[in-house]
Amino acid sequence: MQATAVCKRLLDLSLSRARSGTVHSVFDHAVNLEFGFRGLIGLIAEDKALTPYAVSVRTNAPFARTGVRADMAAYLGEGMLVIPDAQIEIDLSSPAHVELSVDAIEIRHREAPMTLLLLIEQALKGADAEMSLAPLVTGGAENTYTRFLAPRLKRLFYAVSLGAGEEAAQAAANCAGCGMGLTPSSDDLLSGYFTTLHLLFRAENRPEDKAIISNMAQAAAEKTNRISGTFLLHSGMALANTAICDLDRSIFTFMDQAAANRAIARVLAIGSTSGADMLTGMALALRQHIGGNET
Amino acid sequence: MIKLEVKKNAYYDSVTLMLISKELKKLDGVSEALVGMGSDLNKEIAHNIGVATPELDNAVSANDFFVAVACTGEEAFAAVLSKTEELLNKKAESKGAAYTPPTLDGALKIDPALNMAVISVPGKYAADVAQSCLDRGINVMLFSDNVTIEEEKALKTYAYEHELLMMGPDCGTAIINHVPLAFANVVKSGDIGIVAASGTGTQEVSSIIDQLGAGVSQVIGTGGRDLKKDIGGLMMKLGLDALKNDPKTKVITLISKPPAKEIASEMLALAAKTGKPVVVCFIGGDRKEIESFGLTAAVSLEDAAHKAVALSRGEKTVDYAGFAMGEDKAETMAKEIAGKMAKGQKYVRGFYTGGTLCDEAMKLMISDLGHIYSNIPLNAEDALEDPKGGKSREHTFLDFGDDAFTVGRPHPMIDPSLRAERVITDAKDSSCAVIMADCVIGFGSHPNPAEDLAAAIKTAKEQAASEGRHLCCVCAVCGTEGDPQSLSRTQQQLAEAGAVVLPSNAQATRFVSRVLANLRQEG
Repeated sequence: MQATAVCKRLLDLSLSRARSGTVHSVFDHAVNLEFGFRGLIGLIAEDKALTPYAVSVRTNAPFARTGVRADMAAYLGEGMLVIPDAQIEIDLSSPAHVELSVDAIEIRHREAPMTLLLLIEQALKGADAEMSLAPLVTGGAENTYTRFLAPRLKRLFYAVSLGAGEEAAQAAANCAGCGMGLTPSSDDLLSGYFTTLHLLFRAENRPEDKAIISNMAQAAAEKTNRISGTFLLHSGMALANTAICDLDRSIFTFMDQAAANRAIARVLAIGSTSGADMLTGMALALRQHIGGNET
Repeated sequence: MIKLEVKKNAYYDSVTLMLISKELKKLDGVSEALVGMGSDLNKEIAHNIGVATPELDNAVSANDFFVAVACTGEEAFAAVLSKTEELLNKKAESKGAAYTPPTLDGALKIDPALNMAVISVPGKYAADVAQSCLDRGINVMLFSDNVTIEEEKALKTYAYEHELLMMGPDCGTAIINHVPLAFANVVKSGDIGIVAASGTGTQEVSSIIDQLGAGVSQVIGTGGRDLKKDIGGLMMKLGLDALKNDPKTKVITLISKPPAKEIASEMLALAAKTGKPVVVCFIGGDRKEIESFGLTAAVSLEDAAHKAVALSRGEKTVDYAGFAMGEDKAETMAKEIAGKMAKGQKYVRGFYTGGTLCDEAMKLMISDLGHIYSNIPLNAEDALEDPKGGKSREHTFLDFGDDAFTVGRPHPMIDPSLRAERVITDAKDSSCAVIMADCVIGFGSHPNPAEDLAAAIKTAKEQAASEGRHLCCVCAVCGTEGDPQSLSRTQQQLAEAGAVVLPSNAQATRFVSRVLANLRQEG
């Protein structure tokens, strides 16, 4: 199993000291590992977007067919990730190291939020309106989840616009864990919202408010399952998968709409409705930024 | 009755959970169903829709998977459990089928009998990937371009020696054993085999064959450079040989731009030796030379389709250069349109997504028009300066699939928006009389390529009308009724926008020639 790209944070972690853990869960395209950190560590199939604290690997078969099983022992240290019983040894130091922090994305274009919003709104028109949260942005017919979440999100946005940390954290917790997927739709929405807030607070020169995002993410992560909570925690730390980072960079740094549309297509391909829900959260953050407190 | 099924610390991917949720709601006796992880909010939703139980509230955590249903009784709930298990197991069984292997070896492990690969990777890697496939005895369709001529020669030589197909590079269309590959149309099965060095030319011929009620046995693409001297027509030779030996192929059709002279002679000689009727469409090529080999020469892509179908039916071939609507009606309509135009309107602008269709249109019109300016000019002196950013000049034809337009954006058959913008831009030119456009449907193309074009045509005509001009827009749709976009639906959208829609590129071209001829007479 050959590593093709690794999140820089995971490499740093693997070089700090040796740790033992276990395999938490195994899917076709991903394996999650438990090392006692706040979030899980991931193995991701090469053709999927690399996520924070994860390594992309090339395999000849789905992970479930490679012999790796939940609860197997795993080791992380000296730049290596090892699952002995599945005969997996991954050298984390050899592949490309990828920076997945949106804080590293240069903001060169003031009009970026509006441009990005328009592109996302356009893309969400084709999303699954019955199952995803996209109607919150497109104005399409409500579904069980959008109806349930809309007033809660309103409270969340209001608290964020006031910079009220405790209220925002409470409101985020009240939105988390809602929806059908392995990562419930509202969690995907929140993670898109949080990473975009990191960019926008920087653009608005509100660095002191970034702590609010981290608090919201932690409060939300406690209200959902371990896998979904991991993504929420990462988004609170301004970390996002490669598709989201590429999307933000394409507009905030390069104002390249064609590249942005390609990245949007990759985001939409995540999970069943996860990608659409992440984009929904991004769009809501952008609308809040553009429309001010009235949104 | 409210019932609950819980799987502790169980994680299933979102696609499976969504599928289960949708399917359970369809079961008899189930009025409501909620599937998900046991987070507080999902429990609250369960309360809201009336499927909560005390167990759900007290014994289910955010890391547990649950199915909660409102159903008529135990029997209905048993069906829920059975369906849930069936879908979970089905997912497990279908993992191999659903999995997209990232490597060739991975694909072969899943199915060792694979014998055809479609390759679309950046050009600098394409030759290596193609060679890896050939080394394993796998036929190749190489969609990628930017492969050097030396690499192409090496790949094709190897493939020829090992009797493997090496279609491409830059091969956009093929139908192998009735499976359409890349940009291809839903064409009926039949006894006409095609070997072609032209993408949209092949689509035009195969689609018209389908429209005429006949069908194809195989469509083998060679890539546009195959008949150049450097390559020597290696894949056309192999393709001819394959069709010669294919019992399902009764008639062979060759499609290409005119090859190098010595290559043309070699191919025609080989075609004559197949023992089967062969229609040759070397677009703008030497008709007498083709006929000197006892082969049937076509005067257009449409004519090639008509002649192939006639031969397949054992009928005599005649040149098809007319109009499906009839000569008289076409002439009347052309005259009427020309009569509405303002003084000074005299030029045609052809905006194409298909390169071969653009080339064919120019070749059919050049003798009438003298000069046609283009990014793929018939004569070097007619090359249009800055085709993308600049203005059209007199009679101008543009291939929007050419590199000048596709750097950093998808091919116009996938994203036709740039062409639509140009339609509107040129409508503002008071000397523009006619705008011609193709609309290629089928697999690989935009889900509704007529949408943008129709909107642009409507705007363009309104713009011209507001300035006292009548703008004529002429379109031909390349595709079949069986295509996902549907031939008739696509034609209808364009007609409703005010376009004159003809059944083929050749007919569209002839119609435009008549409009321009009428303008010249009046003018």
